[in-house]
Amino acid sequence: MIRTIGIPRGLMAYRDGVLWKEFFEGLGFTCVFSPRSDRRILENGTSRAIDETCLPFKMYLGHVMELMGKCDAVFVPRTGGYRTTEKMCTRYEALPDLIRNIFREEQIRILTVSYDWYEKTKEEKVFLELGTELGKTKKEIKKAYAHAKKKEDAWLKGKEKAQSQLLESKKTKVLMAGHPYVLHDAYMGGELARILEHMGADVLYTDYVNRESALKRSYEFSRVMPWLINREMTGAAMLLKNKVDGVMIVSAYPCGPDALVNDMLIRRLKDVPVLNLTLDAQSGTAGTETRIESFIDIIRYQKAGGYGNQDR
Amino acid sequence: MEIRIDDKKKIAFPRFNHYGYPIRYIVEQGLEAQFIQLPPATKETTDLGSRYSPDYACAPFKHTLGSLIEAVEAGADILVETGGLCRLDYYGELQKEIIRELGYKCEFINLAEYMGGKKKEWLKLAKHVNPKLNPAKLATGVYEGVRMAEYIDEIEALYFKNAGFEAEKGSYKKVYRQFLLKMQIAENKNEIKDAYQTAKQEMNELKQIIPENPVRIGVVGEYFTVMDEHSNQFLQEKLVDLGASVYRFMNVTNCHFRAKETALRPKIREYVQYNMGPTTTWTVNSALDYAKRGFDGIIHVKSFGCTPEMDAIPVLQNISKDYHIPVLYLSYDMQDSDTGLDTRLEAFYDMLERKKKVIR
Repeated sequence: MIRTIGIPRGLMAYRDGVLWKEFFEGLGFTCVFSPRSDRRILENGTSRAIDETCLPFKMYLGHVMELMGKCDAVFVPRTGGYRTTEKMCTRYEALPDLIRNIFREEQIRILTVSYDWYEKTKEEKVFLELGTELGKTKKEIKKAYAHAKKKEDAWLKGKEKAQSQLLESKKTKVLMAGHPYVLHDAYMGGELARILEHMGADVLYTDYVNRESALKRSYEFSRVMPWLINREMTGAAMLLKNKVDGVMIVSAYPCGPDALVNDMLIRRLKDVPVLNLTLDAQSGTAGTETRIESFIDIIRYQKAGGYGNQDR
Repeated sequence: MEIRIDDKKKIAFPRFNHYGYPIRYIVEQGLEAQFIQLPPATKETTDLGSRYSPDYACAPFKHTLGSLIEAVEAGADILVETGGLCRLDYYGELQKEIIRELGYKCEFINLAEYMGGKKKEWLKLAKHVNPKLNPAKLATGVYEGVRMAEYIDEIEALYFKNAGFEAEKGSYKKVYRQFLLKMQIAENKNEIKDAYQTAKQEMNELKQIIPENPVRIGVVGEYFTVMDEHSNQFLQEKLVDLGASVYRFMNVTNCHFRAKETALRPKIREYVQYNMGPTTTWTVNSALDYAKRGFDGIIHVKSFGCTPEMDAIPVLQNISKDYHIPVLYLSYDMQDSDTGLDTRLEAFYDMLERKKKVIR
């Protein structure tokens, strides 16, 4: 019998977490999130991961471990994507099976739902399946889904509005481009945002741009690019590139899609200063701090009439 | 000065082990265009590829980019890159950009744009390559090319299974090489069939000395690296030289023309519930199959950073625990020398051989 559902604060929880939480709570379950990421969680996760896997996944494992014994089931969905050009990285297809195999001895109970681009399904249908597995009626599920969707929209609208207000600001504006779970993770992108703000810059995020318009813009960037998150990221970067003073591309080592897409993105962001940062499990931030500092210096110097303005 | 013997377009694909031969057959006999047959890859190829690639792109990206650049320099008019279910889907677009940036002017066809598309689109593409295309001839060409790939896979499997036990050193290799040479120049289906029959018969007649404790090793892993000999530094060849019998389920025949993912998955359901990625089901399935059949060891091959295959590793670790079968994990990037690999393979082989002597 499931009463409390644990949601690991990692990977897509930073994008769809609100939707999941509101949906489960609408159905009468209690939701537990794992605490914010820190060094200990990462170390726990790293000890169970294959050493080559990406940093966010190691973090995710740590979050799953945090939830052990604190909930009746951990929610690990298998999100393959809804369309061929809007897939997820293959790791998401493997996620439930991975967690099951890695934590085989612990025998944690996993609540999962699966969808994939070749099944041609819709979000509502997926949630219907999920709710049915939890033993709820169709009516209850539909109501909970509609409610959750509304809440998610409100949350997103709030973020979008706050961000568009930031665009009016007179301060140095830096756009952080990357996967939501890198940008907003307290131990990864959170540190970078803190450093930027400390230097008096305003921080904007690619995932706080309207999802539909970013997605639409990304098809001008590339017709065949298969990944949804990279689409939202590149689309948002293309939409905002002329409204910000600099773009900071943040990626976690060794992210598969980012390795190729960021290379392309840098080629397309010719008229704006770009800093390409790759994060790994560093124990200190001094190195990144120096790089961000000089990046901000370059932006300010350029604005004051320096680099690249000689011909004007 | 360029001398044009005919006005056929010259097409090039990235190198992919011996599958260049069937592709050549399809291009020449089906499409009636000219195919650029590249010589075997060298260190120069990989150097070229890695020089212009993003640093942590996977190794196949670098290998194929190197091949494509060499192909343009060899005079190709059209470069072709394929698509797939992982990062492979984005290879074409980035490689096209890189090749343009280097200043090459050739045409670039990215098959990822046509994947899952209609037959009409494919036919249009073929007509674009050769305006005088004969669709019936293309169909036969493709059919016969596919047969050739199947024959190559079969003979290759036979070679790696038995060559470790050959009585006369080099006898298997001689037959195998002769067969490949014939595939390289075959112009009709009879030539393909005859060569296949001869090779199979000759191989079956060769004398073997099977040792007291023969070591059987199953090789599993990532689509490109596990199949492409240059990418995996002739792994199977090295194992055969050590005296092992080597099996590999993953090949073009088994991956595309025979085993379906949905048909393989029920066999591994005690470990895996869902489709974990493009080729992970094949990897896990063949590893489990080797474990159940009592193989002595498994070697898992992938390129560095290959996400789907990395996700297969926790499953393989569980299989290794449950069936007490050693697994050697090899992750390839751009290596300059293969001494490190030699040492690891020798140690692995010795361990398997000793394990057999002590326990049984």
